[in-house]
Amino acid sequence: MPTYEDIPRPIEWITDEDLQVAKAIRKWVDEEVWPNRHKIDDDWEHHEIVKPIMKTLLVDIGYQRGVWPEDVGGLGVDSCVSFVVGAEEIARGDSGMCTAANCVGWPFLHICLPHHRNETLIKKFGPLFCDTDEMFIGCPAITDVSSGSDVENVDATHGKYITTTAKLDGDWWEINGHKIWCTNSGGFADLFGVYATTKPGEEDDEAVAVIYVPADTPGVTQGKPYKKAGMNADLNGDIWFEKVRVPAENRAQGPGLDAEYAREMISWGNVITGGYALGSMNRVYEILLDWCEHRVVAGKQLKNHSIIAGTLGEIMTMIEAVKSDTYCKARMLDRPDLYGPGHSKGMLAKTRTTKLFSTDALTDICNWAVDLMGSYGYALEYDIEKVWRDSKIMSLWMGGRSLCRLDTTRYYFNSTEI
Amino acid sequence: MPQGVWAVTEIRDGEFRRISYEVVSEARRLADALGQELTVAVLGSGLEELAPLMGQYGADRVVVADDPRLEPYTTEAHVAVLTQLIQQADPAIVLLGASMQGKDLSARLAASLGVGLAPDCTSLAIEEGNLTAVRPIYAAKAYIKVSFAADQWPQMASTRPNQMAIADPDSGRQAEIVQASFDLDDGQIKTKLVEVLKDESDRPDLTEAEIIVSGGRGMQDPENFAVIEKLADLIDATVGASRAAVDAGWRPESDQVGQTGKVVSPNLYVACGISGAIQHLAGMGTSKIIVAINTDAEAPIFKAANYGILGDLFEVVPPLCEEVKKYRE
Amino acid sequence: MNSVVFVKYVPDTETWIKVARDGKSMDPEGVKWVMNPYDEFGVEEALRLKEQFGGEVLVVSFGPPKIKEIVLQGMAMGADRGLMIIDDAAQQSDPWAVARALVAGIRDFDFDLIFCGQRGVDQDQGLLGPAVAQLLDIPQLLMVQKVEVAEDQKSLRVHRPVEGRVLVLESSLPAVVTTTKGLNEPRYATLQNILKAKKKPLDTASLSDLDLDAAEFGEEARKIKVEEMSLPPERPPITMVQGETPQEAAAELARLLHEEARAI
Repeated sequence: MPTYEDIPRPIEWITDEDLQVAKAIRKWVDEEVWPNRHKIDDDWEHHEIVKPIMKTLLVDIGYQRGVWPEDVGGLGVDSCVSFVVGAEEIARGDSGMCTAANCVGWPFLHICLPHHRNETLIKKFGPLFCDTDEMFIGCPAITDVSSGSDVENVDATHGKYITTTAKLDGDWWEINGHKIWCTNSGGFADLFGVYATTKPGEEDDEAVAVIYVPADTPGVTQGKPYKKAGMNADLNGDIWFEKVRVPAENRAQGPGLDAEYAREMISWGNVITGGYALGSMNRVYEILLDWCEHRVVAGKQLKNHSIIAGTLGEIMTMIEAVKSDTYCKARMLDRPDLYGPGHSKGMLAKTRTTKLFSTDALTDICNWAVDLMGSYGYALEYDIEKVWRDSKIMSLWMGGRSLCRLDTTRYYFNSTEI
Repeated sequence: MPQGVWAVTEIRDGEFRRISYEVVSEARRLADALGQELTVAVLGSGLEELAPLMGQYGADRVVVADDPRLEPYTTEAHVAVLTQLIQQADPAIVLLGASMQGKDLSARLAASLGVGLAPDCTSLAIEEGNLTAVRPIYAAKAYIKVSFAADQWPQMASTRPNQMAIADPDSGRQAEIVQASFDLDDGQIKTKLVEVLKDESDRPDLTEAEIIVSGGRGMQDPENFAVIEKLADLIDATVGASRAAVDAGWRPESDQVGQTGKVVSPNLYVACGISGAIQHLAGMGTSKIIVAINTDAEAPIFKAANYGILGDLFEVVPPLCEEVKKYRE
Repeated sequence: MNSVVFVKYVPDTETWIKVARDGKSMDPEGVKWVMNPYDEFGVEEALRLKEQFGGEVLVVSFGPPKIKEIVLQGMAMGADRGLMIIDDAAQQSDPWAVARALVAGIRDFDFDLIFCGQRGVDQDQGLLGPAVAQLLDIPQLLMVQKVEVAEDQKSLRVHRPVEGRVLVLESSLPAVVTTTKGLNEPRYATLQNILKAKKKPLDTASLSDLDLDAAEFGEEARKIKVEEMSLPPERPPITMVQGETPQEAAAELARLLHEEARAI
């Protein structure tokens, strides 16, 4: 009987180290996450159950050191394929934890990716993540209270709707604003990567600024976590910045470059989202494997009823297609020498398709799976409803389905007016 | 041409362990099939009273190695003595029991004799004058029938506890008792038994138990195990647990029945509130009789059981205790 | 304190077993392969002893090229070096042949302890440890749940559970120890150690590299031959015990167990 590992992946692109990482994470999922999944789901507010389990991944296994270069004690993971391999395994356990764990490092791709390292900031912030026995939590502070996805709509709005402002005052930035929906906020975050504008109200890529703000800076307030339909292992909340002052050097790259690399960060985020979706799909496969094997209706195992078998075939087709696409795009990001830089409009479009496709597929797969399991699909006990609840947000974040489609058409059809 | 069947016994606290009767009975059946004699080997210290007992179970000859250095058991001493005795006697077949000691002994003895061993077998047969064995693999998810390479003697096998039927003893039957002579150098013995610690529980170890009552997720609470402990007490059963109960911290790991827990083979296995995941079935699937009590009609355990009650174990087990009491009187 | 750990490449315990077309072996399609779960306890114990006494841990495996995955796993957990014994001629070797290869593989390593899992979850035999111990003429301590090496590193004490009791055994070193659940909690491979493992020595050897004769390996040389493989016999269909009340059902069950099954 095959396992989810049998679903085709380009193993020639996956290193021995990636496989060992996958194994370590799988052990963590099987021993610590999955047996506690119901308690984790209930723990949306205080994360008393979640925190120690996250600590094993982030600190003991060392996931929070991933993006940071080896010279500051990090692991120097700079391969999108490696992130997808890891994401598949974490999300198989809990996609909320996967989101939380990956957002610890995601804001720092701006300064850690080899082709645009910021040495000052790597030396400044790297040790906080790498030289510690405690969790140190990164948090992408992107969505503004009034702007929603327009912040990420870099190529249409060029920063015009970013309402968090950054004003240079001598050697300091003064930051004011109100961010919402940030993963790892809700009191958990230690270091924010804040998307701000230096020219409020103007359409100007040069005005987009990514500035790192330690959570204990005076003027920073983290709100309480939101109660959501799912992804309870991910804390999302408000962050208020009131006359927050951080050193000028805390800007990731500089005018123009911050916008460029924001596009790159979004491209990576699109593909890694595909990895989360794949992890959830791996879990759905396992749930259905067990369900359709053991459930017997009218004397036949469910897997042998043709109507069910038809649905299962469609599900597997979708999963296979998402795996191929996600790994292809991850590979493209790993080989800018062949495919061009990750911050290009083309790469953005080509990764937006992955986000759209993988999350739409996951929505459909969860829907079919719940259908197939009937009322059991609606019950906590049978696990599928959690994957279903957790999945929807993946379609919604980073600009939602709409922005995915627009970015794609902008490139392929040169639509300049949308 | 090698002749005869040998059976190696195991002694604890001055008595043959139950597995020895199983092994001797099976060895007798094999000897009959071959038309050859059965020799039973008894190793230990102070064995005068004990050794002749095996005559009643079919031994033609009992070879006794009586030496203080053979009690308590050490691998080196027992292997050294048996290697000599077997090489001298040149039997066709040597049988042991796959108890903890038996597994330790048989594996090393086979290596010492330079022959193969079919361990932990559930059935044995003679085909064209040779031993064949059936043994479980993949935690009894499959079985293989094995034979021995040509011209390898003796053909060795060990039997899974609780699988082989014990013959009715014939009190009139007597075996020839032979005092073995062997060379044993103290320097050969490199292991020493320092201490024996008692295992907390009074009940037989799961792997030895004839009857097991197990609780799973359906027990809901560690305290509720008292319900099945009561049943276990009444039928002399050992209490086991599924992985769900162990992972939840309700029962110790040593109670876990399953592929990565203990593999058991009792005569009777009563599964209470256990769904019957494949890994659990792998741990108890060779039980002779399986009873399942579960509220879920779809639970896979019902496919593996001989008898089932679709019901709440908390409503079924207490009256079952009452009923069982009647049969014990 | 130098330790060797033998690790075996086996099908995952969740695998549904199917018989291959040859009627004698497992159909490998779709099977997920892992390090034998019992071997993991050996890796962990060796690492603990290294932390206590210093020394090196060598992880060794015998099998097809894919064993690299489990040897690297041992190194990712913290072992210092790895050895893979790979040879086409060696497929289907029995445990006594495998033992000869493993012993040959470690002949240049000055070991105090050899760990291996108490049995492989595929063949369920428990023969490798004793076979290795016999070849090396050293003590064997099987299925232990506690290991204590003396301060002078000349002897070893273990706890060996047998039915209903625990034997405390002492033996000289070197020795073979087979490991089982309850001995320890295998550690995670940290991402850092996974990367470090890339730089550790990982050797490969064929049978001829080890001066072994291929004729003593493989299916033809097996001491025990597999004639056929089958899936378990069907149990007779279940008797669902009915009753108007739980008490009635319980009574009927007790009667059946006593009269029909003769189980109580």
